[in-house]
Amino acid sequence: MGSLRKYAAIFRYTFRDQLAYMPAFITGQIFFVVIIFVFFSLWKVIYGTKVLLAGLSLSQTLWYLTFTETVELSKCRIFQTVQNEIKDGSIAYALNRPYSYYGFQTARAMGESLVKLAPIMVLGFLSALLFVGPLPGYLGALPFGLILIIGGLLLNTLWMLNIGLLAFWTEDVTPFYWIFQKLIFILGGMFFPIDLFPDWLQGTARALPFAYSAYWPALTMVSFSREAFLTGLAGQGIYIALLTLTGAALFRGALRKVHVQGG
Amino acid sequence: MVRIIGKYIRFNLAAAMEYRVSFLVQVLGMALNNSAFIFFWLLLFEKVGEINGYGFREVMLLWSLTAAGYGINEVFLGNGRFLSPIIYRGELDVYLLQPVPLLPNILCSRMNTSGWGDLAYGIVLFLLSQELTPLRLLLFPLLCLLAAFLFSAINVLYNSLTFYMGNAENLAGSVYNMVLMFATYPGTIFKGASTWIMHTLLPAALVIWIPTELILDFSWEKGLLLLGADGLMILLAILLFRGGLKRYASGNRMGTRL
Repeated sequence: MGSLRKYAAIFRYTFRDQLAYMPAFITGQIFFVVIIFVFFSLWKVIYGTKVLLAGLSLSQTLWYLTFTETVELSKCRIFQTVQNEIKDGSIAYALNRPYSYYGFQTARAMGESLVKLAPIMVLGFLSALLFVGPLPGYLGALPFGLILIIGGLLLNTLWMLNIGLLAFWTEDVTPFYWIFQKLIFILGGMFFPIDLFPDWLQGTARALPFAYSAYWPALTMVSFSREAFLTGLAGQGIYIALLTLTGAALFRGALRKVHVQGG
Repeated sequence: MVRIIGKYIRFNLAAAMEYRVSFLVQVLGMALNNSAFIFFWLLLFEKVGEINGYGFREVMLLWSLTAAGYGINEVFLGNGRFLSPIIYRGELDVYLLQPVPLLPNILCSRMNTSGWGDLAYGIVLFLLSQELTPLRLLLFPLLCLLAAFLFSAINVLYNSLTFYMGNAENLAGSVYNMVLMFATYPGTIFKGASTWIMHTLLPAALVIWIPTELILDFSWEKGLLLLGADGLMILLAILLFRGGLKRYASGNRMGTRL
C-alpha cells in the first residue's frame, strides 16, 4: 500500500503541474473541432438518406468518433520523454531512486492524460452537439464509458512506455510510435466503428488490443450495454497485465545495457 | 543561389546518412505509416461504394499528390515550419549576414528526414494506383512541385505573422496540419462557407484538390487559373515576410550554424 502511495503522489504532482498549462492546451485544441467537422462532412455524405449503417445512426457515428478522438488526443506522448532520458543518459539518475522507473513514468503520464481528458470531453461534447444534436442515453452511459476511456488511456500509456524503452536498442523510436498509432486508427476502430468492417475482419479486430483503446470505450458511450462494458473492461484488464509484463521484461533486458560511469 | 541550394541538399543528406539505420527506419516508418490510410479507404469504399464522385482510385490520387508534395517541401524546403522560432529567438541574424537571398537560404537549410518516406510513398502510390498516360506522367511531377511550393508558402505566410503579432508558431502549425488533413479528403464533401475557406485561408483546394482534378481531366483554363492563384499565394507570402523583416530587431544573440 505504501509503495502505491508514492505513485499516487507522482500522479497528483503531475496533475497539478499540468493544470497550470490548461489555457494554452485548450486553445491548441481547435484542431479537435476541425477533425470533428471533417468527420461530420464525410459521414453526412456517406449516410445520405440512410438512417442506419451497421446498426448506428449518423448521430451515433459522429459521437462515437468524438470519443475515440478524445482518447487519442488526451494521451501523453511519454515515449518521447523516455527516449530522451535514454539518449541523454539522465535515466541513470532515476535508477537508484526508491521507485520503479516504469511505475513513475506511468503515474506521470496518467496525471497528464487525465488533466487533458476533461477539457477535451467538454469540447467534444459541444462540437458533436453542434453538428448532430444530443446523444440519447449520454448521462446514463457516462460513468461506464469514462471507466473504459481511462482504461484506454492507461493502455496507450503502457504501449508508449514500451515503445520508449526500445530506445535502448534503436536510435529513434518515433517510427514505432507512428505504426502503433495507425494500428489504433485502423484496427482499433478509431476512424470508423469496427461494426462497419467486412465480416471476416470484425471478430479479429474486436479482440485485438487496439480495439480496447478506442472501439470498446466509444461503443459503450454511444450504444451502451452491460455486455459491451464488461467485455471492454475484461479485455483492458488482460492487455494492461500483458503490456506491464512485457514492459518489465524489456526494462530488465535494457538494464543490462546501461553503463554508469563517474558522477 | 542554385549552387548553395545544391550544397545544402548534399550537406543535409550526408548528415542524415551519418545515422544510416535511423534514416532508413524513419523513411520506411513514414511510408508504412501512410500506407495505413490505404487500408482505411479500402474498408470504407468496400462498404459505401462512392463518395460524391470520388472512388478509391481518386482518393489515392489525393494521397499521392499530398504525400509527394509534402515530402518535397519537408526534404528541400524543410525549415519553413521552423520560421517562427527562428524569428522570435532572434536567430535570423545568422542568415541575414550571409551573402545569399534570405528566404531561399532559410527554407533550404533544413532537411526533415522522414519527408523522404512521404516523397517515395507518394510516387509509388501514384504509379501503382493510377492509370498511367503520358500526360499524367508529365503532370504529376509538375503538380507535386507546385504543391510543395504552396505548402512552403503557407508556412512562410503564417509563420511571418510572428513579425507582427508575437509568436504565431501554434497558429502556423495548426494551419499547416489542417491544410494537410483537408487535402486528403474528397473536396466534394465540403459545402458552403467551408469551401471558400479552403480556397483561401486554408488553401487545400489550391494545393491538392484542383491539381487532382487536372490530372483526372486536364483543361488549360483550369491549369492557368491554378497557376495564377498559386502565384498570388506565393507572392503574398513573400511580401508578408519582407514587410515583417522591416520590423525585425536583432536579439544580440550569438550563435553558429553547424
